[in-house]
Amino acid sequence: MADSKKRPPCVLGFYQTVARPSGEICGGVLITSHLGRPIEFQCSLPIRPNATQQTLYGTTLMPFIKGELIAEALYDKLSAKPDILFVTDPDCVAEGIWGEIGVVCFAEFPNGQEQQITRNEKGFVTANHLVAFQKMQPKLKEYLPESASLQEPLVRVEQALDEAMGQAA
Amino acid sequence: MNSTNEKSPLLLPAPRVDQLRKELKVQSLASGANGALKRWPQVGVNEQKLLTRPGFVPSWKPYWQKPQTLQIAFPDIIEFQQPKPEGKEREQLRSLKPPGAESEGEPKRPARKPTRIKPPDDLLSMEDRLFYILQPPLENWLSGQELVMPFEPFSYQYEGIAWLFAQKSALLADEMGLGKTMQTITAVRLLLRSGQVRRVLMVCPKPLIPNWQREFKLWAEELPITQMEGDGARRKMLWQMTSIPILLTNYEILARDLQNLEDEEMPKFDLVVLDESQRIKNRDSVTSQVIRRIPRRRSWSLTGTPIENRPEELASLFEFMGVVPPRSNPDLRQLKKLADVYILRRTKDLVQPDMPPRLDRDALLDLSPAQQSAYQIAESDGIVQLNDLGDEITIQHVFELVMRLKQITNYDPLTGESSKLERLLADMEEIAASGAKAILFSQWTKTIDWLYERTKQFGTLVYHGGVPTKKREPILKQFKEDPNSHLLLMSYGTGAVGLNLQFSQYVFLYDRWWNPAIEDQAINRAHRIGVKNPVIVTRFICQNTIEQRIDLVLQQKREIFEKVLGEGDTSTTSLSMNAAEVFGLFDLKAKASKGTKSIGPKAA
Repeated sequence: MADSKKRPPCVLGFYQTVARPSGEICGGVLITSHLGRPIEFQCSLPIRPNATQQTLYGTTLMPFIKGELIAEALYDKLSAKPDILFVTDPDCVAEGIWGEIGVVCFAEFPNGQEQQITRNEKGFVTANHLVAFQKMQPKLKEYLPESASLQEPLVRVEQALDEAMGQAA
Repeated sequence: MNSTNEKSPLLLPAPRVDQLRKELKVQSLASGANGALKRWPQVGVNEQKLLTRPGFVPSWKPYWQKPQTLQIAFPDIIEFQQPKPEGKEREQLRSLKPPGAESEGEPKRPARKPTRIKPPDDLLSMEDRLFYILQPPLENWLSGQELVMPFEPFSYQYEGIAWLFAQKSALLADEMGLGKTMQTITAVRLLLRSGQVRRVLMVCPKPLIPNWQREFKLWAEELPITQMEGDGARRKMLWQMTSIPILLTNYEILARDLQNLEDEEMPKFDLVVLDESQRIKNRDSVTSQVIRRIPRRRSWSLTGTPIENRPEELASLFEFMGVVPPRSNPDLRQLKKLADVYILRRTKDLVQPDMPPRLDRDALLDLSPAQQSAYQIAESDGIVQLNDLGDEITIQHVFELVMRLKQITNYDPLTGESSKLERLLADMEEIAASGAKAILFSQWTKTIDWLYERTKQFGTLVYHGGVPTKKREPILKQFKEDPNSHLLLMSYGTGAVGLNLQFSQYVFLYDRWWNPAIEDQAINRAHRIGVKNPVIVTRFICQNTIEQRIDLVLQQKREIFEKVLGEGDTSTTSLSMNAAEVFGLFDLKAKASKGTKSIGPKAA
């Protein structure tokens, strides 16, 4: 019996946010191995955009809250940085926050290029993340199981955030 | 320039430039003393501090405080060395495909809803709850992505594994034949791999040790199992070795080795699993007390029969599981509430609604005249003898009478008359004509041999403890393959466990066993997963005899079980009769100074 302490060949990140009807938003990022086994989870406490933020950011408030404010806090605290990040909400894709990590969004968004991620899943990648994504593509092909669903861990993150927000309330 | 001229474009007037004199005009006085006034004055700029702080900063950059975060780190995976494959068989086991990975040309299986691990209701810590929520679906773990399984588990088995994985206290009470062992082994495998447990103690009855070893090898071949055996010194060393992931022992060794240890000397475990946990139903037994003293973080019980006689037995299991305080006696309502949280029980009807049903029918028969006469003599003589024993009467005396009477209901030893045999022959004519097969169970090998002589026309075969072990397998093979072999006579003791006879459509219970769970085990040889046709079970019960009285007592006890574990549970349970109930089969009275008094222990 031996602990497997080495970093998996392909470390995946899954970032998801949930918003409450009351206006509170929280986000979480799950880091897993290429087989979906969790390695680390970071989630933010719920935050509510204040009046100044609403006035200043206007229609870009959500991309700011989800893509910058929460994402940056989570990224800074992550011990295991992912090789690639998956999101479902285009608002979560912010340029610059995730550094050199390629970000793939499962929902279509402006300026995104459609890419084949696994046998059954396609995603959108912005021009800024394209180089990082293309660098990771051979690894994804090599290590991800054929039947893997990369949207499934995002459901886990969403459920975890619901649970965390429920307890925090 | 005329700006009002409409035909001309609008032009602004040219700016007027007045010339200014640049000389500084200074008049000199007559004295001529102010000639310096003709020079330009010297002008400079000096910095001066403000007297007060200004009230407005014209430039402003927003700063937002970062949200607070919560981190959960997951334990590292524990790798176990894979054993070397043993030939073709192992290779075949590894060729299983994960769900959704069908090859071309293969019919597509309907998509199965992934089985997620849910945190137990009594788990309060957010970190602990999130740990379970964030685990991948079991199918991802077990269908070749990370762990190899020899066979794909059924949906209810996935659910059972997910439930066990998250439970600190659990009683898995699935009906026999649904795979309690496999579910437990897989849950243990996942806990060990995910680093949730590092030291597991498995306790089972001694005869089941080889069974557990075999099942571990099949379902978790990479897990090293250490059996507690050898002399006292070796066993002491094994108890102290913390590096053993799974220690397998039986109840007797455990009680013997640990009963004299002080609390601080007790070996510590992350998980203690008790198979056939009704063995600790008596709280005051040495085994129960020793097991409860073992320091552990998780406590699991496995039994198909959590209540054998009284609901208090379930309380003893709950005490081991740490969900009730020591010596507490929860009432039926409380037990029901605890059962909802800590017991997982599924029946075949529940998990396999498509499984062909088991049709039970009681054949209520009248004794033949010769049997009737023999029975009455035996009963009246026997009761007189028991009454004469007075307070010296023991359970053994009553048992002897019960056995004698039960044998007469099977056949009259003098004349060989038997109403059960008549009915059996009539049924077997039809069964043999339709080409079907039947199994008959009796508790006596003597009865089986007697029946064999009278049912040879159906190609009858015999399988009981008197048959040498080497000959047993060929008998089963012949029964399965020979179209002329329609009846297999078996004893409860030998044929009730571990055989797959699901090709038989008929089961006869020639006489009643004391414990319906044993009868069920016997019936489950034919009615099990893989059965293609309904299984018809016929219980022979002679009216107005001891058989009918036993049946009544057992029926009443079933009702207690249903009250605690739910009315939907249609399976039979282990409700064997206790001493008071065996005495209660007869109205025994001893002579007293004034009239008579009842004999025997009082009912609980």
